[in-house]
Amino acid sequence: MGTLLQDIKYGIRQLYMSPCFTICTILVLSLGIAACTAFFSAWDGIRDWSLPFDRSDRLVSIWSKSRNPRHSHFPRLNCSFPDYQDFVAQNTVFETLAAQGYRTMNLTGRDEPLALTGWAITDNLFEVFRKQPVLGRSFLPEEISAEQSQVVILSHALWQQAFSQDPDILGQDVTLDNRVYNVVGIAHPDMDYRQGFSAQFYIPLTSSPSESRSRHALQVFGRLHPTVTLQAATAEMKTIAARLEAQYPESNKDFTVLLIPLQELLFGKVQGTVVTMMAAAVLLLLVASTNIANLFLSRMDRRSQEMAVRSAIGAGRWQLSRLVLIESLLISLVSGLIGFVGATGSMGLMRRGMNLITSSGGMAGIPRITINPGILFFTLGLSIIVTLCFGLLPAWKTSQTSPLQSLRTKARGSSRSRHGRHLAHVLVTAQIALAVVLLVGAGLLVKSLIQLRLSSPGFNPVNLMTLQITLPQSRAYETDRQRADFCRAVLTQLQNIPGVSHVAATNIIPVSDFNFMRGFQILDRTSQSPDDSMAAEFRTVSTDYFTTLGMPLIKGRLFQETDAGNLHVVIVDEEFVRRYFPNQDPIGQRIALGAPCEIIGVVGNHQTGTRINEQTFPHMYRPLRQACMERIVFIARTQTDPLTLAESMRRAVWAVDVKQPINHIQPMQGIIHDTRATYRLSSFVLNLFAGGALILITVGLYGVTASTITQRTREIGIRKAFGACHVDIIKSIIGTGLILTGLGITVGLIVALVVCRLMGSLLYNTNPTDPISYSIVISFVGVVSLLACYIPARRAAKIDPMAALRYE
Amino acid sequence: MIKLKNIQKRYNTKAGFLYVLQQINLEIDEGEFVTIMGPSAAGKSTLLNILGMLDHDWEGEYYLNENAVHELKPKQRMALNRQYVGFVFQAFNLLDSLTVYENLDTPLSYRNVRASERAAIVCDTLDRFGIVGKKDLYPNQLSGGQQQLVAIARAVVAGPKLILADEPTGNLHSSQGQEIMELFKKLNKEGTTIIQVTHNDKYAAYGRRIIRLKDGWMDGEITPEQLVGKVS
Repeated sequence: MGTLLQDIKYGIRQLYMSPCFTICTILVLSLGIAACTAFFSAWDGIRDWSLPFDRSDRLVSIWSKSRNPRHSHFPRLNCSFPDYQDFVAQNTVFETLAAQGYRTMNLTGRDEPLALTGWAITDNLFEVFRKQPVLGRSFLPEEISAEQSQVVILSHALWQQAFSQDPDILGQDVTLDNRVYNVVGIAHPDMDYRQGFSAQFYIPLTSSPSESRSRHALQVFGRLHPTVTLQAATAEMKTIAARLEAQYPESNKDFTVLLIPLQELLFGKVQGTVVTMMAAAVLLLLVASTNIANLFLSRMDRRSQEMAVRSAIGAGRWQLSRLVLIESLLISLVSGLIGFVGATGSMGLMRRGMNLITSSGGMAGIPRITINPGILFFTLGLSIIVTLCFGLLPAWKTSQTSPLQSLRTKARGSSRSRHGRHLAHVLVTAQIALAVVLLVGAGLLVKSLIQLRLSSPGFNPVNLMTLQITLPQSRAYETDRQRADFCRAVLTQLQNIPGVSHVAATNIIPVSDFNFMRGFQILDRTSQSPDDSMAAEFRTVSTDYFTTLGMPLIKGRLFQETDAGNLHVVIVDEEFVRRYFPNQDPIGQRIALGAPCEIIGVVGNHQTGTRINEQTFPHMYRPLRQACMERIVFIARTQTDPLTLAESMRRAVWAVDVKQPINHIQPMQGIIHDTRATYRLSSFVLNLFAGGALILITVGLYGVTASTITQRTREIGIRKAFGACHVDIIKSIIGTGLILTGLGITVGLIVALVVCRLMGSLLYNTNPTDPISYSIVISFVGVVSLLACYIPARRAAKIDPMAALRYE
Repeated sequence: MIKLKNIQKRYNTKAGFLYVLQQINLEIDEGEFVTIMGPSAAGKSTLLNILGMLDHDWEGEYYLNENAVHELKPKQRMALNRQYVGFVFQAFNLLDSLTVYENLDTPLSYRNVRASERAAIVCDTLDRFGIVGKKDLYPNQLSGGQQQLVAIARAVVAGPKLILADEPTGNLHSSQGQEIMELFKKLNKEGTTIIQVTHNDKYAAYGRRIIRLKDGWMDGEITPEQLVGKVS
């Protein structure tokens, strides 16, 4: 025990007497440990995240999936009500199957009108999730079957915020879309499990006998029987879908079903981003580890001599190893401690960052990310292994050679052994290669970010203000004409606001995740087969929509006020023409969209959804006056900062209907900025790590070069004594460094070419093999390496030959 | 004490075997003071390594105090080394990060001597070598002569029967070298067997036998008197 304590004391002193080595090693290791622990803990938190429901692993979402290539832009679709009913009637694999349909309603009759979003649900939805209302009850079967059920369940959050958690809320009446609903329950707060899609109210999902099978508007969830596997359930549901396909070919042709566990549905969306960040953290740890290895290696000679002396005065292999073991453990433990503090300190940031990522995928409640002790010990263990392996090398080497020989070699001022030098070179090469992979990844993301900034969503988002409302389903806004009149009145009010140059209205805001895909048929096409089901994103827009957004007219004409007449007109975009009228003039062609509509113009494409790599969707636009829906987005082109006009725009709406709540008001640039937040975060993290790796390879290369020069001082002195000039010395040293850099870059590029292909989904308009990004990384690493070698090389060139020959 | 029979050491090179030591037959009694001399690459240090059991790759027979070293495994040889041998180097090779006291303590700790016992032995040795005042100093705070004094103290602290000194005065100026040789002489008189390698004729003469090596072969043995006569 006494000897062990003595060894610890000597170990501490040894480290204290090599401050540069100790500080560098501890810093590099701490950085690697902190980064890995933080990111793996975050990953663990996300992986361990489970839905707040009993046996949530049994919860499955059921989707329609089209095999028709024309629908390939939809990986999955909601289910239709009749299909849902057939699934319920025919399946034997689910304990319960429930459905919900998206609804928006305006809450009025209180101080301020509120625009609410919610679900129309079947009576067993809460049963599927095993979360009954915290107050009151769920819907009764008779309330579902009734044509007009005037009952509502409020969400826990709405009950808290709008009703001050009134304990007597049950039985009270609330006005939704100008109709009175009786509150029968308060939903469990855990039902807000899906961020961004939380309901504020639940109303009964009443069915209509005439409901079409082509209307895919319901989200269906089921709880699997305890003994049924997902595969078995999928097989049975596909059989049912095939039966329906045969039974209802006009609506169900090419449709099958897709079963996705609910947990996977939410988790899958964020997996790519988080895995990329973790891979970057692992790469950083590997770069850090090779750096540590090199730091240990450059110390090897001094240690070899010391080990030889210890061996000569009686130390056995174990006694030598124990010494190194203790030093390595000391370094690892201190690094682990600092790394732990660093990782703990970064947890707040990590939670915010991960919350941003996971909420983009709809996963609520992720901020419960904490340091995972297992991961901390794993990274600490890895660092201990690295330090031990390379720390024990001198001890092992001493046991392999004669100690006196080692001492004699040292005394003669010989340089590091060939084996040691080769190992150091291999490590530097590996380090550069790993850093190149990280830098290429970061470079590709930077390029993507630049591309994103330069990219146009298909319109000019600068100085555009958006205001979203949902008209109540009341008598006042029952018909298209009533809603269109409301729109026109608001547009007039908006147009009168000073600083507004153009105003427009539409049903779905550009760059949003709301889809409204509508099927249509091309009329007068002789070759058309019944299989040619076609669909495109459907938008109703006001006359000035394209001018306000700055979307280019490619062909034909835009809408005019006179288009409100009997002739139904439609404008399509270039993608629509490319898909459905290739090599044809679409102007004058007619499509069946409810009523026959004539294509009068072609406009440019625009970004539909919020995902950056989303494919271009075909769009068709109809005049708002011919088809105006409840959901309306007003867009104003302003001459000043759009935010300054927010209040005026609100007042313009209330000037027409004082009870109309405003859902959302935000500048268009803000909307686009928000959609890129996750992307910017992953780019930032990767660049941070790449920067760290760049520092590490600079330190690594500098360290190895400087160490080599120290080893070669005598040799350099001899060379100079025999006539070598400064340039010869510098060239010889830089040459070695550049060969290692070249090798590292080559290996790194080969690995990057393979690895970065996996990043494809994270890149925007950037090829994973983008030559510009690769060239910049090569140049950058080359210059950094040159500098890292030049500084010690210059010092070497100044060595005084006489002093060098006296060196040892 | 030492008996070498047909000791030879060779390296396998591309050009064939390179012999460093050949047919070394030597007997050294306990209490002797032997000097090994010879030109560079004669095999002096190699012979010292073999005697100190730090080199295991050789052929022949080596008996140390009736122990057949050639039959022992490396680990057993190391144990024998700890029991019998102390080393003194030309470059002192003190451990820079340890104080004088700790440098003397280290060999004892490797021999698993208990801490209390070690302290007594180290203090006794410091006193014996007159370096008590230096016990808390680090090697770089000592002169060359003082460092070698500490190195010899370290070599004898564990009470070895045999001291192997590889050019112990090589890095010292003449007066310091003289002091060190006198110290060896004293240790030898106290019963310690000493084998030194040196190039210096004057210091070589401290040995009672002088063994000459050349190209790995024994090139005869002379007495100090013969050496002095040769020099004069």
